Amino acid sequence: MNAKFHRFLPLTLTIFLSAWQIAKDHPGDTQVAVWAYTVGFGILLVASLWLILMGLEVLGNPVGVVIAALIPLSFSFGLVAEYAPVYTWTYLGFALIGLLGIAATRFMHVSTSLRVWVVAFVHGMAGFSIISLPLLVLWQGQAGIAVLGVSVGGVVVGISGMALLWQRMGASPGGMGDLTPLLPWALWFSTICLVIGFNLR
Amino acid sequence: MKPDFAVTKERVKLYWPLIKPLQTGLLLATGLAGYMSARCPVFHLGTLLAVGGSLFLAISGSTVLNMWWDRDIDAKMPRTQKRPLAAGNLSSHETFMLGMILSLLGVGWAFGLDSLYGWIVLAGWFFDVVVYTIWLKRRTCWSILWGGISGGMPVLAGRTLGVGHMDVIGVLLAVAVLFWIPTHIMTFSLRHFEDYQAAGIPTFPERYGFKTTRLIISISTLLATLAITVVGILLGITWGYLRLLAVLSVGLLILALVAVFRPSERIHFSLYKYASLYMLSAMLLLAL
Repeated sequence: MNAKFHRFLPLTLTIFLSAWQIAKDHPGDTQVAVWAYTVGFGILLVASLWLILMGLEVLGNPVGVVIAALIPLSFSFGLVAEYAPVYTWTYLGFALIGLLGIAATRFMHVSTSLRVWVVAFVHGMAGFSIISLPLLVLWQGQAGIAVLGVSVGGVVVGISGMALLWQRMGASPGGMGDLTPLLPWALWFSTICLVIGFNLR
Repeated sequence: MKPDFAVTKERVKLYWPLIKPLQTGLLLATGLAGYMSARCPVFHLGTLLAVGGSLFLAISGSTVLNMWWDRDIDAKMPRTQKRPLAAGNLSSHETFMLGMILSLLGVGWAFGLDSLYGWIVLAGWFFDVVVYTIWLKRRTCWSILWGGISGGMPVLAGRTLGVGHMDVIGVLLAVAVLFWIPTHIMTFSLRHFEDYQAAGIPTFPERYGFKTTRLIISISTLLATLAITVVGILLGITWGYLRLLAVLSVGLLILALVAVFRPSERIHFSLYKYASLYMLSAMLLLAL
């Protein structure tokens, strides 16, 4: 199997899965959650299309850093809006400040360690919300076991994004080699998990 | 002597690139979507096939005539030098006859279906062959405006046949294609700037510069996406489809903006490809 196949197949599947999920009546309980999930799946869809058209090299673009952060932030924001509604606007504030922070440190001349820490903190908070909220609602009996699909999907996409960002910023995640070729499969896997989680919870 | 089948196969192989299958297919898709936005294809399959057949023939005919008229230009540009006519694999007379026969069959079939539908298909053919190709293409870069109007005719024709008269939705769909054309063609003229220069074809980048052209692409992209969104709302498509349309539109707009502020050949080509995919997806969503 060549590299083109490993790019096209998972990204095409991601596009169709995301498009289906956006077009389908969303399982989100509130309008805010529906729009947050739409943004998350929308970025997965558009980013996959762009990666097919432009190649994986486009990940080096500074705009990509902000877009990559938007995926876990939007999904976690949707979960907060659904399961911890009192924190909806507080979390939105954090998400916006976090995005601004990532954008500012990416475009301004600051040390690599500061960039990495800002990215790690924002992704970490988003990741924590994506893992903990489904676990919480599962424990409280508000949702079935499938809700953990959201956690798995969110974690995979979050870790993939963070690892790539670290790599682009010059830091090597755990001494691993180039992770870029794995990204299409990671996007596909996380999309499947998210779709399962949202639809079967 | 070659058997008849082999000869026919060989001719079809030569004729196929003359109709620019992808471009014709995309315009055909808009026409079918225009019809399906008004009529359920399951209950009107016969008419739908007739719409497809007549539009395919008329669009193919105009495209072949365009190639026939532009054979000297095609021979100058490396990108088009290998086309059958420019490469000398087909004679000018044969190509002209093919274009005329396809056009007559397509437009004739369209009139046979419905007179208003026929007039719109004929208008599209006329704007493309006479106004755009023969009259304006070598004189002004604004010729693409007429190319755009011509490109909007299939969807208008399909919609008009579906509802029985010309309506606001049909006109808006045609306007959406009209505004989408610059994203498609101007991006192409940015990418193949030297080719067009060598052939002496006036283009927006040559007349107004690259920066202005990119800005025009962004503005026309915005207008095209707005027109399609308004059509989606007027047609009453589901919220889910509207959300999907919004996502695809935002993706196109961001790419158009990136092309303005961080232009590169890769971005231009991606915008060109994305614009085609966008139009196809948008038409599919409006037709469903």
